[in-house]
Amino acid sequence: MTPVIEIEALERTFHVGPVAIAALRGVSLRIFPGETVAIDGPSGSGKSTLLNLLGLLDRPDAGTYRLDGRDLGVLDDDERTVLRNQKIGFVFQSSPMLPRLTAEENAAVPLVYRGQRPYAARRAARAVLARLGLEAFAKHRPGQLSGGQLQRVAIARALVGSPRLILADEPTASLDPRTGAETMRHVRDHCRDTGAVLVLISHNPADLAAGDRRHVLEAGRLHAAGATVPA
Amino acid sequence: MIPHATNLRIAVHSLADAWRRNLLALAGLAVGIGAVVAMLALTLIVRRESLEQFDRTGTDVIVIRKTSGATPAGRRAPAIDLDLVRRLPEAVPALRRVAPLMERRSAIGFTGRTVQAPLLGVTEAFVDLNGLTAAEGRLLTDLDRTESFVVVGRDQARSLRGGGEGPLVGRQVSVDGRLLTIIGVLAPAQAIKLHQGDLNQAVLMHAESFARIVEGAEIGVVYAQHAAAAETAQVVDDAVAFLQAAAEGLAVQGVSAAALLEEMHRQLKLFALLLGATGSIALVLGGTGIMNSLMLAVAQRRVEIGLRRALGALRGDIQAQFLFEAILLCGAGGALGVPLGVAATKAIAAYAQWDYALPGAIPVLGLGLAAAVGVLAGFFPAYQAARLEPAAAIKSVA
Ligand SMILES: Nc1ncnc2c1ncn2[C@@H]1O[C@H](COP(=O)(O)OP(=O)(O)OP(=O)(O)O)[C@@H](O)[C@H]1O
Ligand SMILES: [Mg+2]
Repeated sequence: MTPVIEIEALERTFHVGPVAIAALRGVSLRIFPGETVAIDGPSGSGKSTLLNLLGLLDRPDAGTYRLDGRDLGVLDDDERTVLRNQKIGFVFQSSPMLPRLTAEENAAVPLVYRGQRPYAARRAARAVLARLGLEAFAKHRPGQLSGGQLQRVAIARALVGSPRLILADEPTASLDPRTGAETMRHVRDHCRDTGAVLVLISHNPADLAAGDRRHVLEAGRLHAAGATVPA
Repeated sequence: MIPHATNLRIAVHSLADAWRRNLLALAGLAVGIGAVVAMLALTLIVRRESLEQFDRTGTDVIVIRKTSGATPAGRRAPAIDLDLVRRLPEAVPALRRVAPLMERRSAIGFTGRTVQAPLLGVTEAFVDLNGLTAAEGRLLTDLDRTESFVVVGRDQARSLRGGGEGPLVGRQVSVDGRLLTIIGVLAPAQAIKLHQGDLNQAVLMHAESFARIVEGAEIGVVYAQHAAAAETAQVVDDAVAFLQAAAEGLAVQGVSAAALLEEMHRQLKLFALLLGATGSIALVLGGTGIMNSLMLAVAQRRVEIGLRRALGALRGDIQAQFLFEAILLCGAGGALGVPLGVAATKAIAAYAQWDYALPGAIPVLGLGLAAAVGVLAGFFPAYQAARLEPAAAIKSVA
């Protein structure tokens, strides 16, 4: 079986003035269809950096990335954008929204960029919002929603296009435990139904326990959870 | 790419959000576009007027007007009389057609009604000089000098008919109790630039008949055409000198069409310079203001841009979005500026006594210019927005 994600020796170094920060130092990982991978790790260990690379929002300095068997290193910016739009759903650490648009319009954005008619896109978004318990808030603007509601709109936006890969950066951080658990259940159900891969960054034990596999990022290196960190 | 309609909607929303900031840039742009529109319109107006002049009579026409001359004590005021006019071509050989004009606003009776009309006393030279043609009957010739014939301008003919249809030629009108026979109706006529008054409203008769029947008839104006090779200013000076020398106490003033045109062009240059300077400064300021506003918008909306990129917006989409914003903003500036320019054109044309006319291409040009400024001002901010790294841009919120 071809892995959905296959990364090999990914490296990413940031340069801030004369200082070089090695955020990822050779990360390799394979994820197969339907798998949920939970990643934990201390702050600044490179979790968001890894997620950005997986989400084609950033390019590695070294290493290879294959998505559904296809090497992405050779793609230009537009090809990467189209792929991102079609295959990847994001839940960011913050829940950025387009402030002028309603919740359902925000959730519909990936479909609009896919070329769907706005009306059809909004209807699809409304259905996902309803599953996440946000029916009543579909016409609200981001400014009128609570942090937890916003996070669920962000999740609806990630799910709406039935992507192959869902990347979630602490998706339940701003939700109460019950809503958090329920929301995660929706995401996992979605992945099970569609065979999508979920890469989940979280410090929440409940979320982490739900993963098929757990990894820990530490100072830019990835380990299977429980493995001893080499000195 | 997403549909342009969507980009347009996004642009409208974003502009509305920052309307305060955009208003100022807009005002500058509107002034700039207005000034440029006025400059172009005035240039075209003057060009049109000069072309018209060249087309119909050439610029080889001069006009001599009687100014209120000093009256020697106890004597009749000196006048340009027909005899003097007849001698003019001998005295100034460069002159070709010499067309004296007498004018008197008169009550003209026709079938029991009376209308007020300018009654003109002219010679065949006047008919030729103005390129008049007859719509009905015939034109005046110098053979009519002893006759009591009139030719009626197009509009005056209409009011004489009073809505009726019948033929006018052969019928009679009364002027000062004398009966005159209508021998023709003019085709729509436009007099040479130097003639003030509407020939379509006039009733024309031969100058000699005019002198006979109108009490105190006098030549107020003489039009003349000169040989193309002659020095216009010299011709004017010679004609004025001859007339003033021939009739003691007579004061006349001469102007040439060429001089008039020259004056027009001189004025135009002044206005164009003024408007051009104002316009280019305002355009640059407005354009810079719009560019500045957009740069600010890009900076403020980094998260939005990053988010859109993450969700599938191509660089081209982002670029189009900001370019749309720039063009919309400038289009609004143009939509405000064009009426401003039209108003300025009207005011200046009225002040300079030019015939106002606005070629339809000018407003279109104004809007086009506005859009061009939009593209120029929007290009760099749009390019910047499109180059933002999505990952970094999204994080700028946190
Ligand atoms: N755009 C950037 N420019 C410079 N340095 C960066 C940039 N992005 C991340 N870094 C650095 O890379 C390292 C990893 O950052 P990253 O955001 O991946 O951490 P994280 O594991 O997500 O942390 P947290 O749990 O706090 O979100 C940090 O040291 C950070 O300072
Ligand atoms: Mg992070």
